[in-house]
This record gives sequence, structure tokens and C-alpha cells, in this order.
Amino acid sequence: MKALGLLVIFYRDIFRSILRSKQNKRQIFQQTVEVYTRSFSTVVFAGIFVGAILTLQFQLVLADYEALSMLGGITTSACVREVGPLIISFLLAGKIGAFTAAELGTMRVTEQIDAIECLGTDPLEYLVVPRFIAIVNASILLLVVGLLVSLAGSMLVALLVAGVNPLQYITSIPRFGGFSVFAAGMFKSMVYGTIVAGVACHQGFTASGGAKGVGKAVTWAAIYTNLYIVLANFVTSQLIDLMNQIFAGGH
Amino acid sequence: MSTPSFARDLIQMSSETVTWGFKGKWRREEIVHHLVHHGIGSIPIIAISTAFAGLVVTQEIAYHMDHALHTTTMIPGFTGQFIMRELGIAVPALLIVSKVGASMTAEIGGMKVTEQIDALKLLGINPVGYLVFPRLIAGIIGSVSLTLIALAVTLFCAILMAVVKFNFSWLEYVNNLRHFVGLKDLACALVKALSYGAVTPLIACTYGFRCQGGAQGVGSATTNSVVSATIAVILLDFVLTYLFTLMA
Amino acid sequence: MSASANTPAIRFDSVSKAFGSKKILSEVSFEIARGEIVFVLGKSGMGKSVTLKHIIGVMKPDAGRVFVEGKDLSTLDSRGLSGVRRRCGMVFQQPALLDSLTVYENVAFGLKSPEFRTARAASGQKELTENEIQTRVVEVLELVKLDSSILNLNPPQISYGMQKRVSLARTLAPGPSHLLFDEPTTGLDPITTQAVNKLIRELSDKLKVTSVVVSHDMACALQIADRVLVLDQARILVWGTIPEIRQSKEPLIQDFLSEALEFESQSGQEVHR
Repeated sequence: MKALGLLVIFYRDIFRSILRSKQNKRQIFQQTVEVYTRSFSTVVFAGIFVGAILTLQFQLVLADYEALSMLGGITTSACVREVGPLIISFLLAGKIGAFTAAELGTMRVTEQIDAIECLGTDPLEYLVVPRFIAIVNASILLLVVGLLVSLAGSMLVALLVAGVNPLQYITSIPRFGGFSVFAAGMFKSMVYGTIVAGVACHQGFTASGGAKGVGKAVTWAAIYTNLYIVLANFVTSQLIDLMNQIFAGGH
Repeated sequence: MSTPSFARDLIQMSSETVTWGFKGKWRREEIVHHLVHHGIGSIPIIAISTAFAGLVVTQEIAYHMDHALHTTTMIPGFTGQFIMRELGIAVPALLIVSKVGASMTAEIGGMKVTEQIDALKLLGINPVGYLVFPRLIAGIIGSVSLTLIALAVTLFCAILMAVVKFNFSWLEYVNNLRHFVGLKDLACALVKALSYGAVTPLIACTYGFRCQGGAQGVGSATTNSVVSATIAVILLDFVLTYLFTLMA
Repeated sequence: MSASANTPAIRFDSVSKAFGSKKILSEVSFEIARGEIVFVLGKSGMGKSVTLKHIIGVMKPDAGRVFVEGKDLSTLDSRGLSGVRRRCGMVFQQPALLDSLTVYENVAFGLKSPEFRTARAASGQKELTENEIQTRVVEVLELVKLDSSILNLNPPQISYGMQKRVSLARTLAPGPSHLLFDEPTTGLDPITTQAVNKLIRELSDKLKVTSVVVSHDMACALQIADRVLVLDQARILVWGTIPEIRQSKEPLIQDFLSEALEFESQSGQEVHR
């Protein structure tokens, strides 16, 4: 609970800093590209398998009901709305979150952050804010890529294991909401990206105690990110449900 | 960093650890220590996370059932199967990777860069037997028991949601569930949990032993460990799910 | 900015600080004059670094007051405090250079910082041009005996000793009046230790800066310090010039001294004062 409070204060400081000072757009763009390219292959790899696993599971159940024609729609919807963002952002917690916590944590324990402060520069503004924005941007992009790729993996398994051809697969998608599903997936991606960025920066920035301290910061960054993502999953699902009801007038 | 040399180290580490299991001494107090430290220490976070996952899954599946079959009567079967075969195992596994895997790498990496592992060797103690083997055994036992807890919590919360929001009665739900979920599913879940529990500590310890270069080294080893173990779990999940599909 | 030359550079007025139940400083008072080199000695965990952190206002005393150039830090707002921090250059134990920047960018870091620029603007000075910054960077690198051939290298490409010098140059660049050193020679070999000590003495003579050096190395103190402050059990054990220290009857001081003398006779170095 205390950790959550500190994190909230950290978010407030970051947003205040973003509003107060103007950002170096080129630097942020470069960092976004860097974060993005570093994690791209991992996300693609994981995305394919997440789609594949879901399809394997669903085809088994749907076959019982002789409803395989629904496979494409159900898998896409479940994957994009729920499982995809969850699993891929777990991966980003490690790939980006832990990396950033390690980077900032190392700078903290080798006194680089103190040095910046003593030389009259606000380390939050100089180090954290550009990273934060870059990670949020890159995470959202990566989640979108991961979700698209997971569809590919899913289609492949549908074809090979369940004998559902891609055309059949795609035509069943719009029956499950189409655009609103993608909007929901995007919304979740945005929330999760912000969590990955904030938790990682916070843990790294407040690390202490040598090599051991950096290890600890990395570990806690991964744990807290995952925990908060699961909690946020619940909250965002409720919100999305509410929105659906409002817009669809209760199905 | 390079994948082939890591794979070689991982295979070597695994074979050394397994060999130790047959030949070396089982340090029971070490195993218990890691079980308490990593296993019991992870219960709260896993219970909280899987509870929320359970609440969400009923809702999501109800949404899909409603769209696909225009009925919500199938919720128990579908939810139960999804939890027992996938969600109730994958979510705790990924949490264990980030909590236990990362902290094992950080621990052992910290020992490596402060030359404690070299000190062990000089004292004639086999670091694999002393550090890795107890973690492996604790990892396996811990993962299986944590998965059981996670399954119970997820199912409970899924039923809770179904009862509160979709007007099922507890009895109705459980009866319905028994048609779809059996001991076979539980056995599959335990096999998955067991393999994740074995892979995570081995990857974590391998990265810990490869660690070099102070704070920066420990940081990047921990990062790599989390990422590799996550990928390994996703990959294993696919392979095992596929095998179980074939058996079904 | 101009306090009279007689005001002490740094003054502690019965400062107390505790972490939980552990007393780190207990009613500690002393004055450091402008331009002198003061060594703060003590065993590990005896409040040496805490003393430094009080001077730059990162830590606040539980009781008592800290003055820098006659200004009570507790009465200053954050702008006033950052003004004080600009007058005090902190030299960290580790080089603490930013690895992603070149040596040049590291040294110029303080000259390009927002605080430095606002302070110049406030005192009616023009902003430094890139040329002026470059001149200044080369100038401070010369002060620490480095030539400009390393300007475009990254810190990991130069030796640890050079990194420490670059770090010192970076602290010197904005022109501080007081230098605070946190264990400058810990973990260095005897030869590099000698070089660092000589550098501290030279900078003090050349730039007339006040130097406060936190250390546990009595041998270094005997070589270059004007006065020595020894902290023990949260109090000042001894505070005086080198001859006064040498005459102290305190057992701890005797221990420190005999070790220092042993080191000197081993390495065959001569004590300067």
C-alpha cells in the first residue's frame, strides 16, 4: 500500500514535470525507436505463440459444441481484448521495465543521478521524463504489433489443427464487435504501457545499495508491474463493459 | 548475451544440477529456506493477481458466450476449462517468473560479482549443489503448490462473479463444472506447473552464474533472466498444450 | 553574493542528526575558513558523509544550524539552496560520469544546466556561447592535467584514474568556491592516491577554493590538510592543525597516526608539513 502511494506521487511528479518543461521531441523520438527495436523480435515471437495457444484451447472447447465457425471471432476477441494485452505486457515488464529499472538503478548507485542534481539539472526532467514518454509510446506500438501478430499465429493454428481456413476465420471476426474490440485492446494497451513505464522508472530512480540494490530494483519493477497490470486489467474491463453497455444500449 | 553460448551454459547447468540430485547431498534446510523465502513469500501477490483474473474471466467469457451462442448457460463449463487448462496456470507462472526468477538471478548475480561464488569453490563446496540444486527443488515444489492455490483462487472468484452477476447458484455452477473439468485437466495443470517450476530456477541461476561487472552486470543479468524465462514459459505452454490436445 | 572575507565558508552550530535511535551527529560545532583544506576523518559510519550532505542541504539537521558563507540553510527556499549548491562543488567517491555522453559533454554538463543559465541571467550575464563553453572545458581539463585529445571519447574508454579527473573537472567547470570531496582516494592504488592528493593541494593553492575532504586516510590528511576534524561516537574527538593532531593523546588518534606513519615509512614518502 505504501509502495502504491509512493508510486502515485512519482506519477504526479512526472506529469507535473511534463507540463512544466518543453520536451526535446527528437530525443524522445530516438528513444522510442530504440526501445521499440530492442523489444520488437521478442514481442513478435511471444505474440505468435499467445495466439496459437489460445486457438488450441478454444478449438478444443468449440469442437465440443460443433461451433468451430466461431473460432476466428472468439479467439480474436479474447486475444485482443484480454489475453493478448495481458501476456504481452507481462513480457514488456521484463523486456522494457526491468531494463529501464536496471539502467536507472545503475545510474543511481554509481552516484550519476546525484551528480546531475549537484550540477544544477533536475534528474527527473533530464533522465526520467524522456524515458517515460518513450516507453509509453513504444509499449503501445509494441502491444499493437503483438496483437496483430497473435492473430497471425492464431490463424495458422486454426488452419493446421482445426481446419478452419483463413477466410472463414476472418469473416467470423466482425460478429464479435469488430471495431469496439480493437478500441478496447488499444485502451488496455495504453493503460498497461503507462504502468510499465512508471513502475520501472520509479524502481530504478529510487534504487539504493550497490549491485544488490540494482538487482532488487529490477526484481521489484517486474513484480509490481505485473501486479498492477492484473489489477488494471480488472478495472479497465469493468470500464469497457460499462462503455459497451452505454453505446450498445445494453445489447 | 549471445544465445548459443547461453544455451550451452544452460544445458551444462541443468545436467550438473540433475547429476547432483542423484549423487550429491540434498541440503534439506536450504530447500526449506528457499521454499519459505520464494514460495510462501509469493502467496499474497499470486492470490491477489489470480483473484482479479478470475473475476475478469467470467465476465469476458460471458460476453463471448452471449455473442456466439446467445446464451450464458455455458459459462461454468467454458470458464472452468479455460481456467484449468490455461489462465489459472499461465498467470501464476508468469508472476513466479518475474518474482522468483528475477530475485534468484539478482541474489546469485550479486554473489558472483562480489566473488562469493569463487570463495565457495575455494572452500571446496560445489556451488551448483549448494546454490542451484536447492533452488531447483524448491522451485518445483513451490510452483506446483502455488499453481494449486492459484487454480483454487481463480475458480472461486470466477464462481463468485457468476453467482453475483449472472445469477448462478453455487451448487448449479459446481455441478455444471464437473461435467467439463476432470482429474485429467488437473493432471495436465500440474505437469505444466512442474515444468515451469523447473525451468525458471535453472534459467535464473544460469544468468546469475554468467553475471559479471558490478551493478550494471547484475541489472542486465536480471533483465535477461526475466525475459528468457517468460519466453520459455510461453513456448513450453504452447508445446504442452499441443501435446495435451493430441491426447484429448 | 558577496559575504565579507571574514565570514567562515562553512559553519556548523551545534548540529544534531539521528537515524531512528542511532545518533550520527550530536551537537557538533565547527567553522571552516575560506581557502583552507580540511579533512574530516573517522571510522566507517561515524557521520562523515552525513556532514557533507548537510553542507549541500540534501539533509536537514534535527537540531542546530548549518551556515554556508554566512547564510543559514534552514532559512533558504529551494532557489536559495540551489544557489548554495552551485557555490559548493561535490566530488563523488565514484567518477559518476554519464556513460552515454562524451568527456566533453560530461564536463560541459554543469555549464549547460538550466540552473546555471538562470543564475547567469539573474546576475545580468549573457549566456555562454558554444565557443566559450569549449574554452572553459579545455581550461578545467588542463587544471586536472588532462589534455583535450580525450574530449570525444566516452568515459568507459578511458582509465579509472582519468575518469576521476574528468569528474573533478566537471565539478570545477561552473566555478565553485568550495569543493567537497567524498572519499576521493578510497579504492585507489598508492600512486594514484598520491596524484589525487597533489591535485587537491594544487587546486586549493591556484583557485583559492575551500576544500572539505571526507576520508579515513590519516596519511593523506597529514600530507595536505591545513586542519583535521576527527569524528567519533557522534562527537568531535579532535579538531585542529596537523601539529595539534600529532600531539593528541586520544587512543584512536594514536592508532590512526601510527598506521599513517607505518604507511609513510613503507612507501618512503616524506611528510610535507
